Amino acid sequence: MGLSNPFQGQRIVLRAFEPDDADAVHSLLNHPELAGRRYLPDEFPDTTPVSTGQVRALIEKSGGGGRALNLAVASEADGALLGYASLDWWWEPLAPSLHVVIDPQHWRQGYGSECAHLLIQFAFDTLPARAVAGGCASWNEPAREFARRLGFMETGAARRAGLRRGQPFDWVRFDMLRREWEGSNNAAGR
Amino acid sequence: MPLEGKLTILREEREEDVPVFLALRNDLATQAWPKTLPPDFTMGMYRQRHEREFTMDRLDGRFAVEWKENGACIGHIGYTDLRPRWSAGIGITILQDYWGTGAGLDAQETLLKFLFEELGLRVVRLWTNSGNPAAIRLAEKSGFRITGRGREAVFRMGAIYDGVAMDILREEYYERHPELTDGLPPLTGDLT
Repeated sequence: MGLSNPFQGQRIVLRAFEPDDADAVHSLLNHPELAGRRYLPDEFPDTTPVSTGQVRALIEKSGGGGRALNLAVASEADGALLGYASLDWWWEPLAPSLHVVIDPQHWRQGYGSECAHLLIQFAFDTLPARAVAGGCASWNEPAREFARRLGFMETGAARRAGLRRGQPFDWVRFDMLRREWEGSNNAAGR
Repeated sequence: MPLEGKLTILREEREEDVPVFLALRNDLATQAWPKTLPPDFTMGMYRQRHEREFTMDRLDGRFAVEWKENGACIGHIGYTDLRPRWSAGIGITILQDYWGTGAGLDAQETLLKFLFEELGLRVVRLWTNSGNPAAIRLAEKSGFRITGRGREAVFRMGAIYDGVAMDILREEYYERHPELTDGLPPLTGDLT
């Protein structure tokens, strides 16, 4: 078996953020379609405009301190920034949390799935994880469908997570157990 | 005016309470952290961890639980992650000698009354795990519902458990307390 890069996909590569990414990240985060689904640390806004200073701080912070990965999702073909993703086991290595954010102009092209597969595999290959967990707002049907297609199971919701357009919404939780991942086609053929 | 229940008073933490808090933190049964910490906290470590500075912008609250009958500090209770006028998460720890006395429920109800009546929250949450049925029962006695799970996300006392998320909505709290009137109008569409 040859050496392989766990962050290299067919069409994407996951890499660390660099200061030069700031403009592209600023543009991406302020995309109106991503309001409410940026999945940033608590001190950064989830729905309101993000400044260049905040983006620089975010990139600065993206090292993760050895208990999280915060990676740029880049095109294998031309290196363009397609989105970003995180895998965080700071609190509990038994159940790291995964988030994938793809630039809306590149939605429905399979980049998110490819990215998620790499990070789920990384979690089960390198961490003592029993499960990989995630979550999204209840109004975010595309994200829920994305998670279901990957094999995640919805396990409930934190009720009244916030307000959107005057309506309360929940925060849906989902997770996938190691044995579910290993028993699925996702992990087959490794 | 402290927050007063039938059996307990929730008041500020005092220097003389620290040995009780230290004992709770160093008891695996009352530590209450799914990710267990070594029970080796010293008095100095505890004081350092709990030093606080005054600010008008408080996003948490922490109280000693005082047993009214004898004035003893028997545990602590508090809230964190406050989103003003919206939500917070709560946590409670009581000395094992006082389990089964009603102290935990009384303190929990007293805190909930403060959170809904004074802070005007729309929802209160807590996290526990399926290996702690007493905590789940205590929460259910105050009207919390299990609303989510983190499967196989907790390991303690030699076994794997699910993380358990529970919450109670504002209207559910007032339904359980007909002696109280909710003076905060519901938000549009907030009745589903």
